[in-house]
Amino acid sequence: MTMRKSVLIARQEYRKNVRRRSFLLATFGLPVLMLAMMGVSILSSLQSAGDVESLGYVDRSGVLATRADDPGFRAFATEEEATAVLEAGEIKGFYVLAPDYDRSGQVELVYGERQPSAGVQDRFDEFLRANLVGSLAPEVAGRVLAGPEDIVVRAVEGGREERSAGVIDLILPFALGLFISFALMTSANYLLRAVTDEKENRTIEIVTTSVSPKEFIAGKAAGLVGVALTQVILWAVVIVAGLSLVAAFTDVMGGLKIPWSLVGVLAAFFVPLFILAVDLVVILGVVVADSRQGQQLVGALNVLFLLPLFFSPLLGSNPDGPLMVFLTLFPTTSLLAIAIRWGATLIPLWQLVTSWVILILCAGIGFWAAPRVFRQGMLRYGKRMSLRGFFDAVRARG
Amino acid sequence: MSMPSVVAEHLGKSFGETKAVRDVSFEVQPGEVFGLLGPNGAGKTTTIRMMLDIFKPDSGRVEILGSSPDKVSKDRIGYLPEDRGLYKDIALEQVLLFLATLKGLSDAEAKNRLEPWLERVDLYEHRHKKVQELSKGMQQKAQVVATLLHEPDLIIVDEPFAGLDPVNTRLIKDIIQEQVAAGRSVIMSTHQMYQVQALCDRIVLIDRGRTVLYGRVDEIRRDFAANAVVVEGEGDFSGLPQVLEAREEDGAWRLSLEGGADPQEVLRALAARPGVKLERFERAEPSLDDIFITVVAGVKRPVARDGGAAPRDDA
Repeated sequence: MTMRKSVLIARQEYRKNVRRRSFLLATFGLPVLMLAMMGVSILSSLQSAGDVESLGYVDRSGVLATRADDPGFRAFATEEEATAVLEAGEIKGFYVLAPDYDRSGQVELVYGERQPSAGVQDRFDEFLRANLVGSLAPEVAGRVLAGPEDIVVRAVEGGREERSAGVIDLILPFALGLFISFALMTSANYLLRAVTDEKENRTIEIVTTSVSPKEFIAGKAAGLVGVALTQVILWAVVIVAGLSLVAAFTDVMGGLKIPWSLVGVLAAFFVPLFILAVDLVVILGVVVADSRQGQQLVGALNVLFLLPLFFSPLLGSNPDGPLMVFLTLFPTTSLLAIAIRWGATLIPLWQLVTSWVILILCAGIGFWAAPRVFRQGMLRYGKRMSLRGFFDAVRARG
Repeated sequence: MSMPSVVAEHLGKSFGETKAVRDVSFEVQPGEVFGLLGPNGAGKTTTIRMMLDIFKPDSGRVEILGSSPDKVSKDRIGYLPEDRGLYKDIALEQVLLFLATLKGLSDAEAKNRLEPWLERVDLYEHRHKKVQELSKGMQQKAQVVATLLHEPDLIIVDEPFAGLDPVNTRLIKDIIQEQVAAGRSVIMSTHQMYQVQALCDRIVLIDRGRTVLYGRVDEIRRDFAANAVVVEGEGDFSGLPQVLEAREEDGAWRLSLEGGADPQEVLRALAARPGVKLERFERAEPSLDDIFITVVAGVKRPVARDGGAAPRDDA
């Protein structure tokens, strides 16, 4: 196998795909959509901040007497005074804290034509909570407001421990797993189309008189990973830039920590999983009669890799249940299942190691079988390969 | 004698229950056009694919340019398949450059070689068009360029004249003959027997996966010649010595000879007969078309030549 020919195929495949209209539309359309959504989010946040001055309160309980962390809400002595200002149109609404608020927790919101935004109401809640803990020592008050954020989780079997820091740590691995899986499936879908196109165009017969099946598969896969990476890196840049912008205007991203241990585990799983995906796609592309049949099977292939996503609601109730363990050990679902479970539980070391070994074995078998099936099936123009033909191809001389 | 470009010995290949090739043997020499013939489904394409190392033979041995197919550099082979295989949604020039670089040429070298080729086959003006925008004949000429651009030592062409008008057919024939004159081997598979007769030095005929006829075209035609002569001219051609029957066919006379008759004796008798004016006198050799039909239809048992043939097995 010579690297040069694989590189030529990769270069050709990359150039061909990045010039496709569908690629350009997906690659640049999605970031534009994302930026638009982030823009709306920032605008809404800015609007919320501006709204603070248009919201007042009447504190009949004395809870807000210290006015700790006052973001600028207008204080009124009586409801009559507040109502007059509301009717004059200077404010959009005001809160009234009941005299027995510390016992009843009763708060009334009075507003004119439109209810104040959810964002501005959240800020009033924060202002109220800051005053409720105002009597505590600052470091204690800070911990109360932030909630439990530094819990050490230790597995009973020993050997692994993790620190958890709340919701963001649950979402981040999930997002990371999805991101990687999406990149992988994008490449796989491109590859399937490339293989079926070659078969339909009859170009495969020409190309394979110049390169070996392994060189061909390696070149195609490398070129299409390049295509997928171009797409997802561009998206990632837009997402990071967008989130940085959002973070500059809001505190949504507070407490974000990169889960480096998970990044390491996912990296170890990604390479064999990608090889397995390429093997499966090549076999699928060769076995089907044409690209239409191939596209029909793409959905099934995606499900095979993204299955854990459908069971993610189970995470809250039973992240260590048999189904989740099965999905962790099953080769095609392992990466996403691990990513999804990572923030919700401490995955035992034996599951990680077993899953990785199974994945490596499957990728190895696929790497051995795919070129054989490819060699026998690639020239069956317009014909499906039967199950028997498939096994014959696997057994045939390489 | 120089080393054969191709040696195929008792090749066999099955796909599941189907035996595509049972026993095929032949050799191809440098500097010859070799015809690989046979009816549809005879096993020609599978044989070609074994030569190209796309398939491995289940039995037998194939040697290409002195090595086994997996060891010989694929860059030394040029292949024109029956089904045109060019990327349809890419500009012609890009496709040809890509295929040439896969055959080992550098980008610059491929570019330098491509321009004169495109001019020669009258495609230079169309080089920026997508392949799907070209006519069938143009695509066929482009495929020929893709086959030859890297100057291979062994050229395998499957139906090279498909979709071509007479002018372009002549052009491709000239190109094939130039390649042979340059010492390269050309294996041609086609159903156009008159092209085989015009171009090929030797042929192998495969039927149902077996070699049924193998040898020089002129010798095969002689072997299949009936014991008869064809005569054209004026005068009476009946009642000649050693002639069993004289029959007029398409403006010529076909004289069936007795067993062991010498055509030269018949010629002398004709020349001596008063009132006879001869314009043509030749042995009645069948065309390759006739031989093909005779052998494949099993009308007549073939004569195996050069030790490479196998008797036809209808089983």
